[in-house]
Amino acid sequence: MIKYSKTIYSICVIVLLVLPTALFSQNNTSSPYSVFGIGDLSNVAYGRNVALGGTGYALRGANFLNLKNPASLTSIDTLSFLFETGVFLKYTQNTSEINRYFPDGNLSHLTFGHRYTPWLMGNYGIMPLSDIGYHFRTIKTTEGEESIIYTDWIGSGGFNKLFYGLGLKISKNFSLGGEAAYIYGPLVQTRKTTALVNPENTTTYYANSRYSGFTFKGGFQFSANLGSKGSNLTLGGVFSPAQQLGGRSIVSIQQSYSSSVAVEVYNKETRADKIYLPMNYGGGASLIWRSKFLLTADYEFAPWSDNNSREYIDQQIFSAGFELLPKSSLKYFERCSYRAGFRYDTGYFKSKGHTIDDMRFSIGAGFPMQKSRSTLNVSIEAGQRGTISSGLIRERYAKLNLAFSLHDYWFVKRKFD
Amino acid sequence: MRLFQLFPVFLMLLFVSCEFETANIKYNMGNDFINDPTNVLMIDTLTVKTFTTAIDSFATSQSKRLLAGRYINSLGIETYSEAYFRFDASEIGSLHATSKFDSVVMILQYDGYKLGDTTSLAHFEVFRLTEDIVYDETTLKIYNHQQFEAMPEALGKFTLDLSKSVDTISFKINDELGKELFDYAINQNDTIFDSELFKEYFKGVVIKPTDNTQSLIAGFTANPDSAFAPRIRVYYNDYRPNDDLYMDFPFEKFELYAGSYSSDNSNYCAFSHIVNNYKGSKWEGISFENPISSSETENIAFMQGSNMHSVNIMIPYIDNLYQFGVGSIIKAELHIEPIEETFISKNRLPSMLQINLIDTKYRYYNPLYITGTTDVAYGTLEYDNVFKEKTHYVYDVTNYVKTEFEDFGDPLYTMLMLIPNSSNQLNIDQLIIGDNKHNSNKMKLKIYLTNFNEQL
Repeated sequence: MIKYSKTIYSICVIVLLVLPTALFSQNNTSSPYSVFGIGDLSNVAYGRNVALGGTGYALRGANFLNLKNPASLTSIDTLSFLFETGVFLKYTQNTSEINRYFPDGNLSHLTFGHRYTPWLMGNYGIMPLSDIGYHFRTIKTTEGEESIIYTDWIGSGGFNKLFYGLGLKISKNFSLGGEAAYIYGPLVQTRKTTALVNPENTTTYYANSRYSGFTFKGGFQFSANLGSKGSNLTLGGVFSPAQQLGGRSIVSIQQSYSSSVAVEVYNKETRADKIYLPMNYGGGASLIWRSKFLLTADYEFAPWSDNNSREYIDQQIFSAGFELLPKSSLKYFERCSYRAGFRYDTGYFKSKGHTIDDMRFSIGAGFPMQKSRSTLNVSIEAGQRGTISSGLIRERYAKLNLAFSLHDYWFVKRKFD
Repeated sequence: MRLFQLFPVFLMLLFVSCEFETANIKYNMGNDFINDPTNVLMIDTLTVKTFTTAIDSFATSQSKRLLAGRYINSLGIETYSEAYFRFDASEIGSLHATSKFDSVVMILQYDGYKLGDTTSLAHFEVFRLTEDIVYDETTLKIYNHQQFEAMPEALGKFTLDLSKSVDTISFKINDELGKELFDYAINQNDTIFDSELFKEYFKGVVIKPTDNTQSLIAGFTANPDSAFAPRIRVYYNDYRPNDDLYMDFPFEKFELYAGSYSSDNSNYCAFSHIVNNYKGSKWEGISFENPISSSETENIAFMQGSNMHSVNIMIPYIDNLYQFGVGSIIKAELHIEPIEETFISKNRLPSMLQINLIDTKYRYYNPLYITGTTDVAYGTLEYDNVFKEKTHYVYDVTNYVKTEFEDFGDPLYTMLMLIPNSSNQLNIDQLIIGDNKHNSNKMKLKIYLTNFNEQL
């Protein structure tokens, strides 16, 4: 038994070590909105949480890794070793003047979790955090004269997250958790500016940056059994301090003349413009009723307007989820769990007076694997982001998430007859 | 069963190897979507200094045009011109002894070129030269300031009235000369049949404006291959009084050496004497060594064809553009306005302008090229038929400003703006322009500069 488990573990570790950068560096978006902040978030949640509308502050579960709140680690069975990974397939319809469609997909996460001591649990993993991929044109006028200049923006890149979390069981009802994450990734931006007074002479700004930085998260969960059997209320909260991602940029500026001459105006390796990640906090509650179903809701707040740019606004996220809990039954489908969720995100920037909000519904199910406590979590999200007002873009998407929560016993002391 | 647990890993690897093609979609996000840090600034406040320059002399021979006349422009500058040229020996065979001399005329053709006022009459006189026309032995050219001696009495005179359509001008010249030429022909005298002897005998003529012609300089065809080139025509009759026979002494087809004739450069001994008289004007004292700043001439500068006068344009503080930070020149454009009172209609303005780059010692470097090419950049006339005061020239000087901007330190070159010469056609057109402080016809330099509102 142990031998097999270790094999899986070894394979996963190799994958983790060998692939991480190449793995997540696909350009998985084509959204002008990914120019803001750290780009488009790859996933709002993972595994079971996705189907529950991305909730998780107050979720606990013995067979799941809940990446929203590190305090939830203490709910893992002390003998368990959990490995979770997932993939997604997303199909997006972008509407501006016309509709455009494109598919994308990627690995969503790769995490491990297990105990260190009966009261200290850990998890670690890697995941793509955000995608940056845009190609759009903006227009403005020359200063000092009413003539048009336009800029074609092309960006690519994205961030990955490597994290390590700990959950500390303070008491039967109360747990604390902490997570440190290393965020890193490239960002390439090209801006080609053309002034109509002389459209042949274009100016091209090119910046190739590599960013990195640490983020920290602390959380708690408080659980109490309610009067009736199998009923339970959990409260949870999470806080992350503001962080900045820094890095190095190679910036070059070229001025072209009549397509035959290009003068390098500037070329320097410099400190990249910092990317600001604001403080972030949130809280949630979940209620399990008679081991039959679960109701949960989260609220999250991030004051992006602290960012020194007029585009940013404070972000609020409301999410709620419902789950029909699995039964101990001989019927397979009764042993499955069924989930649904809703999430509304105000977005963190404003464009042309409009907030670019995101609303999504999700449904999903957890399918237990035979003779084990492993689960295959399947969910489908459907949502809409942005607006077509003022020439902006509305994205409608459908996303299929597959997540494998693999469970094994590692800490059982073998007894031989 | 355990193998089943490996399935996610394989699935994951499969996904990693997948390439989802992100369509290359470009969205038009208009304005206000995001703050574009790249700016383009239009700057029209850079100092521009303007000088009228002069050259000491310029070659006027080997042109297909001869100029004669006198014109005083609105600035009080007089341009005076005389046309010098020679004739070839007659090509006629022998005449009958019975032939009788009738008359002699000179035939010229007005070639359409004019400088000055066409509404009043212009009077000219033709004088016989007493001095050989000689060109510079090194350059093989004759220069504008040169003159050759002529007889004090005119051979003939004519009047141009350009208010009417004028083409060929034929006017009587001194009969004594005609009779002499006729007699040489009757007597089969080599003087008029041998080219060298003829030019020794008849050294050529000069056309001068009469003293009271003050308003016009006119151009005359001087292409030796043209049927309309100048000639002396001696009319005679043979048996009948009205035969109207004639013999021609045509415009000289000069050969530098045997077989070298080409109409493009054969006018070694035909040239125009052209000088300006600045006395009493604000440009008095102008010379090659002494260009005159427009600040001393009521913010006016002027150009004249054949490089007689050019306008030296200096932009001494281009490097001040660095105050806007890292940036580049997208475009630089000179907007030049001719002063309204100095031209009557479009065809009195040069259709284009040219800029030569010169160094600080007024040494020629290059014409101004279009950036990235070796095509000469020209300034073009934008004539406004309705609002004449809006008439202007637009000159793309991006290449110059860009080069000086990229070069830190003192300007390498300055711009010498001039009226370009058309091939072999002598041209003394004038263009009177305002500098960048002129009240009504301001010269403007617009520079479009990028800069970046971001940390660089």
